[in-house]
Amino acid sequence: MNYRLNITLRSLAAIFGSYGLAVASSFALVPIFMHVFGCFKADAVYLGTIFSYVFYFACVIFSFNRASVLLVWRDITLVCFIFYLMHYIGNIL
Amino acid sequence: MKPDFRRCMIWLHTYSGLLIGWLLFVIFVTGTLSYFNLEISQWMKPELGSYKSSDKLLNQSLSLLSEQTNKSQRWQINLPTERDNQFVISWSIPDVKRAKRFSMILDSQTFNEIKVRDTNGGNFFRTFHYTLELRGFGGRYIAGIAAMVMLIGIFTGVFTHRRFFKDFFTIRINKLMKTLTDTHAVMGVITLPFCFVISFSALLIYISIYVPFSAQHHFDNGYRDLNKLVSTSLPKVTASNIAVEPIKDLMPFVNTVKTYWPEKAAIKSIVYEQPFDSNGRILVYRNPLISLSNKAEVLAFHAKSAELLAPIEPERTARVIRRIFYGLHEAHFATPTLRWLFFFMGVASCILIASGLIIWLNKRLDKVKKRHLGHTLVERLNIAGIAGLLLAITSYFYANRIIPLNIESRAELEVTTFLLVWFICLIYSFIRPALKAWSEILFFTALALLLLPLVDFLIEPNWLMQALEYKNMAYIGFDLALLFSGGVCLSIYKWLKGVIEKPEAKNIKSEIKTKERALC
Amino acid sequence: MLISFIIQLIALWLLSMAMSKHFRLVFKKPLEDNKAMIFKILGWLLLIMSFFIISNKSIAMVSVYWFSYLALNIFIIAACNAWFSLNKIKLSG
Repeated sequence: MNYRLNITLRSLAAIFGSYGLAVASSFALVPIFMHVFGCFKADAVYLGTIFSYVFYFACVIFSFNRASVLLVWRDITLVCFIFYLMHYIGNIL
Repeated sequence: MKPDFRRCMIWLHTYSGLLIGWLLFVIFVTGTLSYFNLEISQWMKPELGSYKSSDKLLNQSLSLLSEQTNKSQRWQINLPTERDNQFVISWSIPDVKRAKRFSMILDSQTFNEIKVRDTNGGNFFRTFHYTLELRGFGGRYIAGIAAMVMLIGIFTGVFTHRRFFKDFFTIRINKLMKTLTDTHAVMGVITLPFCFVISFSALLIYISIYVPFSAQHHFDNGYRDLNKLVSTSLPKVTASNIAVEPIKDLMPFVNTVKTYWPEKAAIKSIVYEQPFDSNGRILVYRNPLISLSNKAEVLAFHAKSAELLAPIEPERTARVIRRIFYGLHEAHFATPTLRWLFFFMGVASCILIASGLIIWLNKRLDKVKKRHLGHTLVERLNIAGIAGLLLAITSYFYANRIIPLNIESRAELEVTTFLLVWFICLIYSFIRPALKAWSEILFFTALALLLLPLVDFLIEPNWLMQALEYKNMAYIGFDLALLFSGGVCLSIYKWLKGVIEKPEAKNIKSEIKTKERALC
Repeated sequence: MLISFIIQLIALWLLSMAMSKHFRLVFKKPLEDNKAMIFKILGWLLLIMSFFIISNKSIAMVSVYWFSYLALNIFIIAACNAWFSLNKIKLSG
C-alpha cells in the first residue's frame, strides 16, 4: 500500500476512529463503574467520561504502531463493538 | 508503520508537533500570561490606584448598598486583595426574566466611585487562551484538540531521546543546532509533569463539550443534569416575607470567620442574600489559597441571628477529581513564590514549543536539496507565530495606554490592535528574508518593551509614583517585567545579528553549500 | 520551603555529579566508581527527604510544590553544567 495512503488512513484512525472509540468507552465504562465499583449512576457517567480520554490516547498511539492499517481499523471496530455490547448488557442489568 | 516503536513515536512527535506547534505556542504564551491576569489588569486599569484595605470597608459598603435601592434581593461586596485591587459592591434587582445586576467600583479610602477605563485587562489573555477569540466559532474545540495533541507530543517526546537520564542535565553550547536540541530536551524534561497536568486538566475543564454523548444519553438535559446530581451546594434562601432592615455590622461575622479561617486576608467576598427579609443570609467566601479544588469555600450565617448555618456537604470522589484538576489548571491557590514557579514552567513550555518548531525547520532544510512551499510556509509562520505574537502582545499594552478613554468599545479596539499588529507581522515575515525578519521584529519588540514604562510614566507619572509609595508590587513588577523581557528580546536580537553578519557562523547556509560541493 | 528547595538543589547536583560526563567538566578529573555510587545514593536520599520536609497539611499541595521546585532546580543544574562547558571551551581556545 502506498505510503501516503497508509499515513492518511492511520491519521484518520487516530483522529476520528480514536474519538469514536473514546465515546464508546465512555458508554461502556458506566456499567463497569456501577456494578464493579458500586458507584451511583451519575458518578459512573462522570468517571466514565473522564477515563474515556485514556482510551483516546491509547488508541492514537496504537493506530501508528500496529503492523498494518487494516488491522488498525479492524481492531478499532472490534473494540467499539465490544464496548457497545457492554453498554447494552449494562442497560439490561 | 516504521520498524520499531521508538521510530514510530519519533515520527508522531515530529508531525503532531509541526501541525499544532504555532497554535500551541499561542495558547501557552497567553496561558502563561494568565497566571498574572490580575496583576496585568492592575497595570491596565491604573485609575484603581494602589491597594489599601481595612476592616472598615465592609460596614461602609453595607451602608452604601442600603442607600441604593430597597428592592434588591442580593448584595455582594468584593474586597480588594494584593492581586486584585478592585473594590466592588454590586446589587441585583429582580426583573421579569433575569435579575438586573448593578455594580460600582469604589475607592477604598474615600468610598467614591472610580471610573475605570473600558478594558479587558489581563483577562483578555485568559479568555484568548481557550477561546482564541473564536467564541461562537468553535474556538474552545480547537483549543481542546491542541491540548490532546500536546499530550501526544509529551508522551512521544520521551521516546525521541535515546539517553534520557544521561542527558538530563546537558546543554551543549558548541554548535547552534545542538544547543537548540538540548534546550528542547531539557525544557521537555523539566516541564513534563507541568505540561501533562495543564493539558489533561484543560481537557477535563471542557469535558462537557468535548465528550458529551454519554451524559446526553443517560440524562435528559445532558451534562447540566449530571452536574446537578454530582455537585453539592447550599439550599436556596426561602423568603419569609417579613420585611426587616438589613444588618449594619458585619464585624461579628468576620470575627467568627477568623476562628475557622486563621490566615491573613481570608475573606474574598461577602454575599448578603435577601437583605430586606428576616430570613436574610450572609455568605462569606474564602480566598482560594488553601485548597487545590476549585470549589469555593463558603461559610453561611443567618443574617439576623448571626447563627452559623450547616456547611455544604462534601462532594464524592468523581466530582472532586475534576475539581482538583480544574483548580490545578487555574492555580488560584498559588502564593507569589509558587505563582512565579508556575510562570517559569509556562515560559519553559513556550521555549520548548518554539525551539521544537525551529529545530524542525533547520533539520529539514539541512536534509532537503530543493525547498518547496511547505518549508517556506513553516519558516514564515515560525517568524509570525513566535516573534510576531510577542510584538502583538506588546502592542496590546500600548493600545491600553494610548487609546483615548472616551472612545466607544475601547476594550474591543485594544483587542483589534493586538490582532492587527499580529497580522501585519505575518505579512512582514513573508516579504522580508527570513533571518532579517526575525531580527527586525525582535528589535521592534525589544524597543517597544523597553520604552513602555517610560511612555507610561510620561502619560501620567502619578500612577507609578503612587505604586512606588504604597509598594504595589503588581504595578512595579509589571514595569520590571517589561524591562526584563525587553532586555531578553534585545539580547536575542544582538545574537541573531551576529549570526547573520559573521560569514563562518552562517551554519545552515554554509553546511548546505559544503554538502552541495561534496555531491558534485 | 526554602530549605526543601536548597536540599533538592544539592540532591540534583549530586545526581548530576554521579555521571562522569558532568563530573569531569566541574572537577577536571575522572570519576571513580565508589564516588559515583555514594553520590547517587546520597542524591536520591536527599531528593526524597526534600519532599517530606515541605510543611503543608495536604500531600497534594506538597507534591505541587515539590514538582515545581524540581523543574527550576533541574534547569539550574543544566545551566550550571552548560556554563562550565562554556568556560572549558573558552579556556581550550
